[in-house]
Order: sequence, then C-alpha cells, then structure tokens
Amino acid sequence: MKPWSEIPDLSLTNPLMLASGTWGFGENLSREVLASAGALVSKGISLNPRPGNPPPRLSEAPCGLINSIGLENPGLAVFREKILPRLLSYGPPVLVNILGESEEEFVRLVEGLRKTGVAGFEVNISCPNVKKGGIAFARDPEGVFRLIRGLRDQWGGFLTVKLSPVGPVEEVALAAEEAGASALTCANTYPALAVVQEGRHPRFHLGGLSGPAIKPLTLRLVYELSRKVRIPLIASGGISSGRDAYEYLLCGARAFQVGTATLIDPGAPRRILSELDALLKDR
Amino acid sequence: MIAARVYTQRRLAPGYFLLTIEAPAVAEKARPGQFVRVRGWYSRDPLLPRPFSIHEVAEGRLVLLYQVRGPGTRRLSHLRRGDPVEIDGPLGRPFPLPEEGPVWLVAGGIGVAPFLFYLQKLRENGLSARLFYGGRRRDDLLRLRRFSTLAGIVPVTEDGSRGRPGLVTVPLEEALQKNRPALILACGPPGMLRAVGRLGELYRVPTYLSLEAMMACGRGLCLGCAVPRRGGGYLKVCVEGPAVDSREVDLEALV
Repeated sequence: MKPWSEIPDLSLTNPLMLASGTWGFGENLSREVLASAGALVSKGISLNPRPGNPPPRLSEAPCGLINSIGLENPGLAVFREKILPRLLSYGPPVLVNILGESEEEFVRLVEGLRKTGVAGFEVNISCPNVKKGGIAFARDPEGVFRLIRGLRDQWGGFLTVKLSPVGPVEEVALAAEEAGASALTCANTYPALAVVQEGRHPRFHLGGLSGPAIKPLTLRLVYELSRKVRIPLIASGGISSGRDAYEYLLCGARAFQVGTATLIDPGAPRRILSELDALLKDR
Repeated sequence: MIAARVYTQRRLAPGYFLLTIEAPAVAEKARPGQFVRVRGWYSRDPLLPRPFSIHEVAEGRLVLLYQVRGPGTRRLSHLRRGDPVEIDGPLGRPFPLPEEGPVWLVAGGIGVAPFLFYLQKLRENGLSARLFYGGRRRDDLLRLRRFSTLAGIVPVTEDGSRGRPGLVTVPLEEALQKNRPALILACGPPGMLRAVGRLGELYRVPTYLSLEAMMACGRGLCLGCAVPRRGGGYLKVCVEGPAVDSREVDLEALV
C-alpha cells in the first residue's frame, strides 16, 4: 500500500489503526503485527491509575461483544516512564487515548505527554465530567467545545475526538470541529446489556457493544457525519474484513480502526489490510 | 488463528466430548496447564473462539475434553472427522512443576480436563500424584480408568453414585490431616477453588488454583478475564494464569 495521505498532520503508511484498548500495550503481540499498523492508539490513560471494573467484564451478543473493562490503566506517570518508550519503538505513530473526569485532568495529561514523541492524542469524551454532576462530556457539546479549546492551547499537533455514538452526536462533532480538533474517531461502543443470569435474582451485564453487530449502525453515523463536518473521520465500528473497511471509506471515512477483530484473531489487522489493498487496486 | 482439522470426536457421557484436532504446530509447543482457543464455525455468531485447556497431546494432535455449556460448545460437539477448525495457541502459563512430589490434584467436574496432560508430565519427572476427583453424579466422572494409570484416584460424587458421597474437599481435608503434599493444584467451580485455597493455606501447602473466566483475546489485550486479586486490583486469567498461587487470589470474591 502507498503511504496514506488522507489525514493531514499525521503521517500514515496505511489507513489502519489499532483501536484503543484492544492490543494491550503491545507486549503480547508480535512486532510484525504492531509494525504493520498505520498508527497505534494507546489504551485510555488517566491521570491516576484506575483498577477497572469487577467481573464480569465481558459478555457475548449475537455477532457482538459487550465489555465493561472500566478503563483499567496504570495512570500517566507509569505510562510515560515505563510503557510509552516501548510503544514508540514499534514504529508506527502513537496516538495516546486520554481520559479525564474534568477539563483540568485532560489538560494535565496533554502537558505530561506533549514532549515525549507521541504523534497526537485521541480524546475519550465518554467519561463523566465530575464538575458537571457526572454527565458525560459526550452529552454536552458546549463542554466538548471548551475541553478541546483548552487542549489546543497545549497542543497544536494531531488531535482526534472519539465520539460516543449516542447522545447529541452531530452537535458534539460540530463543536469539536469548531474548537479545532484535527479529526473525529467515529465511534465508541454502544451502551448495551446482556442478561447473564435468569430467574428470580437476575443478573445483568452492562457495557459497550462492539463487533460486526454494530457495523451497519456506525456506518450510517459515518455517512451522516461526513456530510456535516470537514475534518477527517476515522471510522471505528465492527471492521473485520477488507470489505468492511472499504465500505467505511466509501461512506466518507478517511482512515479506520480495528479492535474487536484483533481480539478474535491477532492476525486480523494484517489480513484486513491485504484484503483492502486488493479491493482498492481492483477499483 | 491457524487452520486445522478434526481428527476424531467422541461422546464420553451425556454432554461430555473428547475432541482430537490435527494441529502439529500447536501440539509441539503445548505444555500442561496451557490452553487453546478454538472456533469450529464460519459464521460471526458466536463471535469469540472458545478457550479450552489441553487435555492431552499425542502424535501432533491436541485432545480437548469439554462439556457442552452454550452455543459455542454445542457447535463444536457437532464436528466430525475432517471438519475444519481454527485454533490459536498454546496460550497461558504452564502449571508449576515442583522439584519433588507428591502432587495432589483436586478436580471438580470438567475441571479435570487439564490434569491428564499434567499427570503424564509428573510421571515423566518421577513425581507421584493423587487425584481427588469430584462430580455431581457418576456420569460426571470421566476417563477414570485412564486417570488411574497415572495417579491414585479418590472419586467423590455429591449424590454418592460413585466413590465417596459429598464434596471433594472433605476427603482432601482428611488426607491433609495425615500428610502434606509438596503442591496442591485445583481446577473446578469457584466454590471448590475457594475451599481448596483455604485448606491449602490452613495446612501450609503451596496451592495453585486454575481459574476460569469469560475470555475474549486469550493473550492480555482486552483485560476482560479479570479475577479480583488479594490486596486489590485484578488478575488476568489468560496471561497470569490459568493457574495462580492461591495467595494471589481474593478467595472471598471468587464467583
């Protein structure tokens, strides 16, 4: 594949990014898999370590996976000192997915990482904003505008906002664009539920749905948003074949992320790329 | 995932199957205690490959002993000789191998699956072993003759239809009152693991628990197979286990 120049501010060898939270920190994947990606989007990093949620963290849905990992991560300091140098050694540009519970937390994350050689940031706005009574940033377009504006004072390079597929998606997308985001990642998982125990004392698993089940939903979202915003869209939602990726590109995406498919088979990213390459050459 | 083929499939008892897969590349690397992920269907539903401990390795073939529990295992149970499967592994850490025996194994139901391969390894290393093997009823106790060639077996059933009636942890504790093995290794339902963990600590015997959790990637990518760690945080069964020192596990939180 020729170098991929569809995303300004980001030098990609191909349009495939490994999605946040679906490749660990690379320690259990082969160097070939990591090096073959166009970009690596890190697991969500918060200012302080987060232990994550108690089990169950996973359940299955038809053609889909529901997860509630709870943003388990070692926090900024450990990530920067112990993990990031290795991620940077893999080759592809590294985007750090950052998550905060207030604007200040996001700002401190960018401050702490801007001089480390990272290629940019992916801003996770699906967490609750503590200062706003716990309402998610993704439900608050004005909050997103202020957040991204604030980050722009710290960082002029690549910055994508990972949208939630629910809530005022279009308003949030436009707010992020107006505030100066370089791109939008479209989108996070869908709020979902599985009944894990039936009967008189039912147990429920609440989490985010990913996988092939959500592809038609996110494909529609990418299609709609590509007609509303001018900044590039990075598609993320159930891509498990070159054809899936190709469909997203047809619907207006300029790059894409692969996540659940990598969990099923670590060989998936390279297979998807070679299938896409063949499709693009054919047409 | 690599492509492989079913060599044989045999029903051992209602709901229990023995699946042999021709996969020399995986079989060659496999160590007792490790697991593989298997998919035997082409559709995207069920989405995830299913993890199985390795029951035995013979002549480039992997033998899996499993119980039909849901849609994935049901599909696997329909496979016949020559059918294609996808396989991924071996994954996880091998079971610990002590310098000296004896080793006492505690199995609950299908938790016996990884112990045949392990018992063969113990024998190769000249370590003696006992197997405390519990099930609900006699049909749950599988391959007893095969196991009895490798270890002294204490069969236990909850309904008393075979061996001692009751729970497997009762004869285990009686035995601990008389002797101490070099290592206890348990695999089975969470309640049994909790009880074995407590006994191991009470009698000061190094005790490993082979944990089970819903799993997606099998290799530490998703952090999905979390089990509460003693003192806080979570173990990941796929990369830190399946078998972990009982003192690492928050036994009260095992469900």
